[in-house]
Amino acid sequence: MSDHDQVSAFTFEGTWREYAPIAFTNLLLTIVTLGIYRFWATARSRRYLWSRTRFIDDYLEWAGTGGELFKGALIAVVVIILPLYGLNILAQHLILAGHAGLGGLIGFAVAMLFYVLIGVALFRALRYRLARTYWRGIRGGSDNPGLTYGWSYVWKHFVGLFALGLMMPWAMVSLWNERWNAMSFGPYEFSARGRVDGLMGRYIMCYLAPFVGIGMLGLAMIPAVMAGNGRMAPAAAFTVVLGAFGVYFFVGLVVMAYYAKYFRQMVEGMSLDTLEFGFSARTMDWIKLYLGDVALVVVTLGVGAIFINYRHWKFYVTHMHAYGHVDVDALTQSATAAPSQGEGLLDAFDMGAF
Amino acid sequence: MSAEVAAGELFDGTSARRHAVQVAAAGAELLLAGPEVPEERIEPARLAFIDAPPGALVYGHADRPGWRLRLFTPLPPDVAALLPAAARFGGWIDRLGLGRAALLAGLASAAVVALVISLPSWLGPLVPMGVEREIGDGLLGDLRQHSCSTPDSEAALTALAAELDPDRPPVKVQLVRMGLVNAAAVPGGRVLLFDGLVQQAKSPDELAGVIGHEIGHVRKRHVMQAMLREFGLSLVLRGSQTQLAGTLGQVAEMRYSRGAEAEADTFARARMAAVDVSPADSGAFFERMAAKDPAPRSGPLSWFASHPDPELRAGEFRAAVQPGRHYRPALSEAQFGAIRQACHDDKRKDEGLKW
Repeated sequence: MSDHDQVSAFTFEGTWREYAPIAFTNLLLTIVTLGIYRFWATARSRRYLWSRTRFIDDYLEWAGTGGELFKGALIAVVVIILPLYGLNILAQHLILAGHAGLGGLIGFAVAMLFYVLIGVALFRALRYRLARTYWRGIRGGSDNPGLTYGWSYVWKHFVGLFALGLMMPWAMVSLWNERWNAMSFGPYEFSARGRVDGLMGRYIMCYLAPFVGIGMLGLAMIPAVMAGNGRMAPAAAFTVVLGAFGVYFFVGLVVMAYYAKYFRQMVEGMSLDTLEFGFSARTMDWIKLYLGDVALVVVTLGVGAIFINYRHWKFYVTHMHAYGHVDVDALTQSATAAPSQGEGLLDAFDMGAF
Repeated sequence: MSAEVAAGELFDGTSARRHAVQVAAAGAELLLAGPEVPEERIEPARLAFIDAPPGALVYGHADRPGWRLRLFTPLPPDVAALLPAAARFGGWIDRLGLGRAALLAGLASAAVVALVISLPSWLGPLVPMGVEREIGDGLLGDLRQHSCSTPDSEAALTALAAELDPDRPPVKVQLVRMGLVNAAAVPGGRVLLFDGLVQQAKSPDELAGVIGHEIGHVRKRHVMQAMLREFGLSLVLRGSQTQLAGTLGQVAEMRYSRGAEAEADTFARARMAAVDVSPADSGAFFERMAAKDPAPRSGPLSWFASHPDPELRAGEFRAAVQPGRHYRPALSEAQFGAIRQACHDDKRKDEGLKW
């Protein structure tokens, strides 16, 4: 039972009926504790989602705790956010007091540092999540503190702006690879060799989409305006609002088309020892995911938002594939350091998706 | 030894190999054995409940990272009795039960919010005025380029403020080039008087009422109280919003409580009475305001929005007039004129203050 060769190695076996009691009690406890319970809520929610995720023939396990998430967020606020906030106030103070140069310099440094820290936060959150994810008693992790990644996050995004932003796909691909190449599971290091080739077409479409959309809207408006003798009838105004929404939606579609291909290509470029990965969600799947989110939240007057994590996790798991085989005897325990606290920075920046 | 054993699977935390095991109760300990694992006695206290997926219970071991024992349910009662209890919400919530825990947490949260709301009222006056002044300067600067000032207007305002309020250090009243019919006490013991209000005023006594009211806010430390209220509450509520980028713009949206407004009115009337200035015109002023614009104005620092009903206030000011008492004007005609003319006479280039 050590070797497996199957197409869909990942399956999700959770049901929303099972998840609902978790989601609703999480919401209740988060409200009555003025939000403090949300760290424990996150841990409970993940423990369920992970435990219903099967990889080959066994389930994942989320071993993180609410306590360590809370501790991480507390540390991030005290050690990083508050000092940065203080420096920012100092910068504003200096500018108001007439020291525009010094104030501006401090403000710029704070902004840069903030950007670096977003990169560090994203890196460390991935590291933390891998270190807290067990499969058959084995976990992942990384010994890289992520500071280098923080700088890469800044300069690669900066380079991404070159050539009118046409370097951005390169930046995204390069950052994905850098992040995942620093990660490991058990004794094996992840290898991420995602490629930019094939992304440019869809990326350029993202660029053109707003112009095309607005142009089409303009054309559509001409008869409406002409019918009103240069003035706009209420019905025409409604059409314009609808049209503007249409443009927004159209741009969203095009961006989604790029992101779908980017994500597929990145996952396909990844391997772990003999395992190769794949991701099967196409543009339409992503669109359905997000339209579903919107519908869920709107129809339930916002309460449905507590199911979004569930939907997204299910989406990732059902579209994720792995090919190859796992030698369970060779898959030994990770030697990376176990984390003592959670994804505090990410929480502080409010970017924790799961 | 019990005849009944629990069937399960063990991952030892060193490799991903799955081992079939059986667990039985042996006195106060668990006896774990399997074809591939050496027989072992385990202290139940070392076990930690991990999860309860369908048809199983999962336990970890305090000293062995990744060690996972999965036992299939139902378990023999004697084995189940030794295992640590399943946790659902974690910690004290499981001990109390969800309903009671939620109720207790809700009460505690309500207490925290109540404390935070009442905290500023007694904490505000404890903040040294110097600190408040620094905050005010940091937020608004000195506003000199937006103020109208001639030597005569400056002298008149200083004299009026000094009369209404002999306390030290004196409250600085600044005339601001702005059309708002408005006045405001701002952090740092300053009162801003907008030119719109000055032009609107029919007598110096009206100005005395408005300035007296704002000085009341300063002396009663309402400004610091309001600032603490804004920032204090937002700090607590941030727990659920986690948006740490609070803006100082909140200061501009500061509102005083009705109690504070009444206190400032009382202060103004008492000070006016002490220096023989009649509250009658202030009453008339509020009446005019009520007739002119019954709806509360919007916008930051709006004087009438957070204030009590103008008609009610007008009544209170008029009622404070003591019949037969000899009152004197708050300012001489020349002084009043100098203040009214200040924005016209002060020719410094300025486009006015924009909020």
